[in-house]
Amino acid sequence: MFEITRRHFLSKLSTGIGGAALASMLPQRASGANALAEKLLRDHAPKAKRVIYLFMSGGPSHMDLFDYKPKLNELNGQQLPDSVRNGQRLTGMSGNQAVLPLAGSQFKFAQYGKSGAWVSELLPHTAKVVDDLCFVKSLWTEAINHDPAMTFFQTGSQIAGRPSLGSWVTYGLGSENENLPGFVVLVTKKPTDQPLAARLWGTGFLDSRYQGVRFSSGKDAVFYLSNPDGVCQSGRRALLDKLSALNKMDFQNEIDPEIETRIAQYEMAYRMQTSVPEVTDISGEPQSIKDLYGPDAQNPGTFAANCLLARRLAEKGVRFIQLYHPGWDQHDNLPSAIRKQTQETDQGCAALIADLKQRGMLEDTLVVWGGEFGRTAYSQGTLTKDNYGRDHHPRCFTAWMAGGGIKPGMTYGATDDYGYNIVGADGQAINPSKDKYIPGTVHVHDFHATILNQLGIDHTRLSHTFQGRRFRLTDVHGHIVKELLL
Amino acid sequence: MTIPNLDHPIRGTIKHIAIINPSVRAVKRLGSSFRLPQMFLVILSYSALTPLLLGQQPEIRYGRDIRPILSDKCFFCHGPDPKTREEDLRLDIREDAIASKAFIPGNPEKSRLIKLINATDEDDIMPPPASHKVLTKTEKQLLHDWIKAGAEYEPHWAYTQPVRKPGETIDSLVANDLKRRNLDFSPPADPSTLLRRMHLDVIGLPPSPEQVANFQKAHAENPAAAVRQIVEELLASPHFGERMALSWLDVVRYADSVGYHGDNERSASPFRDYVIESFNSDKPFDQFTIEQLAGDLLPNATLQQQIGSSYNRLNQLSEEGGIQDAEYLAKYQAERVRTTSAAWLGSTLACAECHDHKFDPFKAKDFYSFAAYFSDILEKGAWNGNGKYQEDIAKWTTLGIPFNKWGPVLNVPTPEQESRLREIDQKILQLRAQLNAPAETDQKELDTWITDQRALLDSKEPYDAPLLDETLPEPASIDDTKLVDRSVAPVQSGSHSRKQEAAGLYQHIAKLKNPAAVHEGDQLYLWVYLDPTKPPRALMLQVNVNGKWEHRAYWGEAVIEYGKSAGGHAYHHAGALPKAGEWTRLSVSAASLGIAPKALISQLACAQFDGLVYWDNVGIHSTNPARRLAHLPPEAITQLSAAVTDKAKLAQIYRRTTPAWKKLSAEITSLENERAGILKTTPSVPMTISAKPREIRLLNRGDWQDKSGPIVSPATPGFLTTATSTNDPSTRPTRLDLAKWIVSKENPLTARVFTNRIWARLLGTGLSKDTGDLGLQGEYPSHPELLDWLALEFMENKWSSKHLLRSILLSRTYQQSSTPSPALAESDPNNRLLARQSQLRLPAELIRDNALAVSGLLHPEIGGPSAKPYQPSGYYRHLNFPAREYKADTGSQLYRRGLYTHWQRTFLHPMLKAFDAPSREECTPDRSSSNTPLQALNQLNDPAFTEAARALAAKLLEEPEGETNLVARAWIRCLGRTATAEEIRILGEFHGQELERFTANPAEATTLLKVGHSPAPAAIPPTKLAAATSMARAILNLHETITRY
Repeated sequence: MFEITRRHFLSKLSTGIGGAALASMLPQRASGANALAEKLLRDHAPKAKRVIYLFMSGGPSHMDLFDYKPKLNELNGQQLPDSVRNGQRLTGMSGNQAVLPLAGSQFKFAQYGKSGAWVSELLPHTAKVVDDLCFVKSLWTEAINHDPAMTFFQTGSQIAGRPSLGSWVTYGLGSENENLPGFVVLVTKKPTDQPLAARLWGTGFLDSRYQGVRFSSGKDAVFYLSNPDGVCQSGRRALLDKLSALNKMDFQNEIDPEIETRIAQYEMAYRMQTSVPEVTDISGEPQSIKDLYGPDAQNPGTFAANCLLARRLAEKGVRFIQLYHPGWDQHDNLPSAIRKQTQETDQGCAALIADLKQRGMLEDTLVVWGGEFGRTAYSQGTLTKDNYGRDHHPRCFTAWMAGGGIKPGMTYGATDDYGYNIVGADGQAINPSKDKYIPGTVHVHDFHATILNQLGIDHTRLSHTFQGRRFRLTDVHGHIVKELLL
Repeated sequence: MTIPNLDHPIRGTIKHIAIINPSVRAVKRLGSSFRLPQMFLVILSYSALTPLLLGQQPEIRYGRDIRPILSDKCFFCHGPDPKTREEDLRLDIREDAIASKAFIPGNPEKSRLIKLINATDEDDIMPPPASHKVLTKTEKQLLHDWIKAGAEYEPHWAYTQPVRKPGETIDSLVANDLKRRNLDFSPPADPSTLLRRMHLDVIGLPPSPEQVANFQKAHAENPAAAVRQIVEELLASPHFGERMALSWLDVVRYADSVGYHGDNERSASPFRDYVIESFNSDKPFDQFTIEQLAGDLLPNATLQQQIGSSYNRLNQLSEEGGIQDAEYLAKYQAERVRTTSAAWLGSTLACAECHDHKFDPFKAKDFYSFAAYFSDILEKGAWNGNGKYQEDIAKWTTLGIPFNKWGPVLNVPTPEQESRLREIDQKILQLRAQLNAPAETDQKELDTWITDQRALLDSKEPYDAPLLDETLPEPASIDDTKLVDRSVAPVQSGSHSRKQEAAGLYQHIAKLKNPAAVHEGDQLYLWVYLDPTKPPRALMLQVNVNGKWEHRAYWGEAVIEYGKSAGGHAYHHAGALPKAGEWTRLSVSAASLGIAPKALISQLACAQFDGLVYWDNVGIHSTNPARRLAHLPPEAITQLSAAVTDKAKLAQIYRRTTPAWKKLSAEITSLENERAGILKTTPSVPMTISAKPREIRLLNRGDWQDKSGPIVSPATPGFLTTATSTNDPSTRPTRLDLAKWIVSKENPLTARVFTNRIWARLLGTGLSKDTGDLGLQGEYPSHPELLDWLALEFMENKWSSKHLLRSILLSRTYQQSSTPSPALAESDPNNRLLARQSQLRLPAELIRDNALAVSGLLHPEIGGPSAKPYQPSGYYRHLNFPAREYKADTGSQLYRRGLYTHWQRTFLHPMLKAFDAPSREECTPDRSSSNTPLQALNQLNDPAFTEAARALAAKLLEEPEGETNLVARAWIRCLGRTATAEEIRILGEFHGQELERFTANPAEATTLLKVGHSPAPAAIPPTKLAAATSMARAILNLHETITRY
């Protein structure tokens, strides 16, 4: 076999072993570029082998969940001071509101764990695992509306066509499993709120083998997984054997390395027909685990069930597991709506952390929780005694990370008494800038740089040349937030 | 003599190139500090080997061999940007480099550059170790040899005029290059391979077995003539345009949905058909260009030219709540610059949105000047209600141009639709004339009417006053109109009712034109008709008072969630459901809903849970006299109560109540509804209208909120033109000027860009590999003279695409075998030397087309609305605003070619997506060609392919030969070549096994045959057909089937 063929073959393997990391497996003669790839990607030992990203779509309200603001309750009903807003833009939804009345959270906060992290009463389960979490309260983004903000958070650009975070990671590191995709997407089955576009887990200009594969809770977890009606598994095997024989003959004639790759992909597809139903079937989980994730976990497609499935996928070596839970866009009736949201997600999140931890997997699994932006300190619409809404707020919001070499039980960054601006150690508001890194602030690019760093990837070096430019997830920005690292 | 600056022809005018990342590291080198921004440490790249590494080069060329090294490794500190320049040395200008003693032409040994790159001391070596940039041995040698040869510079190839020498041909240029490398062409492809290749490349459909046989025969007699004839036939085929359109539609980001946020559908299919027709008629590419960019500005623009100009409005649009107009206008304008510059100029002008381009001589000003050409396009930024058109919008709304939610629309009706529309318009004109004709009012009748109305006004009796009915003078606006008329549905009052069918909860909301005041003792009533076969579980009337939804009455079960948790007035149970199958008047007192007297009702919402309900005439049962005259315009009350009556005015009001007037008016309404109905199904394109240009400013760092930048006027990129620009309305350059410049002799890019793409499609890789970027970061062409030759051949032959294709197809280069020799497979795996053809996987659309064509399922109609083939259910689950369910087409639309597939940008059909078709959210000149397990799953299990296999099997079994030579016949039909004995043996064996399997399990056979909408022929025994289907599935799944060799 020709060397080039073998190299080509390996590089084309979609989800078995893939990406730049595979370069290190190549024989010495092709080592020039590959040693380089190895060096660039692995300039330090990875702390995390995989990521589970719990994306809270719609923009959860930081000051009703984690960012405790007693002052807001004191000032409830008063107008947001201009000195706080400081000319920052609002959306078209509350931008022309005559008054911007501050709205204190209706929910009680308390401190939990050794770390003393503040958590609202909405998250009793999360409260139990706070010592494993690292809260980032000074995350900020550039976009103020869902479509651009989600696209930005998931692909590092508001312009469509860039690879998603999961694609970059799979492109860089490949998968550890030859029977499952390296990048799996799980969306909670519930009425959709803000749309989730496929670009959020798309490959952009990378080739489609790095595409996130959406698993659904229906008959076929993966599209086209089942044989056509009337074709049994033995019939499928017979077909594949003949196909393989014919394709091999074709290869003898054409010396086209794509043929060998094709044969391997048909085999992988065959294995997926077994491995996907296996991994998605949670019936064999012990009762203790089912109890841990709660009753929802018995219902496929719920967030809790997806958390459990995420753990199973992580165990199998899936590199990037992306969950989405829609419904956090609470412009009105926030108190009742957020209660529902947290009921749907709280136990699953906490169970996932505890479960990974008890298996020793939290060490090398990075779990991330967060949305595309936060929400305003003032009420959108009328503020009443027991009701308020909140508009989008990109200037500061909270996310948490756990495991994968991230410091547990800490909080990074702070916001002002209104939860409106990031503040420095001196309590003074900071005007964050993506061009100039200011400690204490965490831009989306910084967040991405930190995630990649934990996977052993230097975000400035993981790039792909497209239309004359080397593109990176973090564009020409990004700063690793070293304070978060163990 | 000054040697022109090679990388920056506008040398001296570059002020600076901004540093993107200010984080720097100081590195000590001979005592001076040395800065290396991190962004330039990005060196992991997967680009192919440069041609240089593939064989011996006869001479060193600066553009090809040297500039890439200098640009990548040296220019950041010794290049055009003074901000990052070290030691006052720049290597991008020859005389500066010489003056700084960087090198001495002809004397590498004495040149400082050579000494430093070969230095061993870490403090001396260049590039410094901290830069992570390393020069390879070959690169060092090249720099050495180049200096030795005189260190000549040359301008960037793509920015110079193409040239060619007389007598050159495609083959002579390729052959010369091969000869230099001691290589030769591969043997010609065998005739059947060549025929299939030409078919797939030119029309995208495979040859039939008859065509294969005929060609083989003709080829045996006279190969050249046989090929020429096929080429001519294929170029004349109407499918030629379809194949050409496939790639062009990627470039101009044609799609059937708006992309952003809700990704709603929006019609644009006539544009796709315009592209097909343009290629079929071999419209000169320069004219094609002008029509797309500025067809609307051409004098007496034809319908086709106007359709072409909808190119400008195929960009993504957003109606997301809360977005700001200016932000999205900025996004749209930037997108047009990105797309237009990539599509026609192969340039990454997009990079200059925030700063001057880092590599090419584009300045930020060029970006915004380019954008200014498009600022006349009538549009909004935010389509959510916050957006505003250009200030002269009134000029366009009075011309009868239809507007939908995405702006002006150019309807392109079918001929039948067109004639019916003309009839309707004439009829409406006639009826309006009748309606408006002055008519005498019978004074006696008028007086009686006045008396009656006054009596009504004075009466104290309670009265049913409609709030929600089409008979009102100013009907309420309903968010979701589903009005049906008497001919098709029960109607309680007036001419229409509203049909509402639901699975679960559904409602419509009506906003009253004038809020209605509630009086003491008022009741609310509504008329409903419950379908006896599909009754609902609950009905609900919701009343919005003072902007709040806190008053609700429901009938039936407590299954509607609205207000349930609040209870009380917000969830008042008003009784059981009425009897189905008849109109029933339901009523509830305003007091029981907690609506106090004098409260103002502004909106009503009618909700139901499940079932089919006709809603009609919702109102107030009131003693308020004013409400009693709600069927008349408000001024009627004033007139009737006035001491002195204006009889003429009352006569006018009266006239509108007469049966004759109502009849005419209803006829008009019905015609207008029909018209709207037709227009809803009429294909249309978003219309490009040239309004008063908006002011375009240079945005500081691309920030749309920063209004401090200077206003710019439309201009082409400074370094490519000599023209001046102005904002003076009389001389301000237009899109038409831009389009003409793009195809002018002055611009060296357009023809190179297009011919390079065609070459990439026909030979596998562009002569310059990245077909979206011919700039300084693009690849120096493998065969620069050939690219120039193609560009000139194209332009000199009236920009004829057919001529261009013909020239390539008839070349020896194209007709070679694609099978590499072992040596070639090793040394040139990507076929950059052209010593053979390339082995290319078919694009997504063609994979499906091929299966449909060989099975006979293909419906080969050209053009028309987009088609919806089978798609897994739930694929659109995460789309919203509105939520939607994909409905596959039925009948022949299921079997249309792939390029007609409904193109949903955020959720492209999974088959197309699996095989690398782009979402078309952005311009995509290159598709990748991946090889994944999802592709295997799709081909094996997508019902479209299983159905095609069955249709193919049936077709073969229905032929006179029946089961004789079944495998061989299937083979030649799918692959265009004769199967080998071994291939026949393997497949025959499989066929036999499957026959046994299905004979043992006949139920499985029947199940398999049910896949797909088309029926299986009953005459063939199911086990036989199923076994043949299995065999056909195997062939359709072969790598060779989806590859063109």
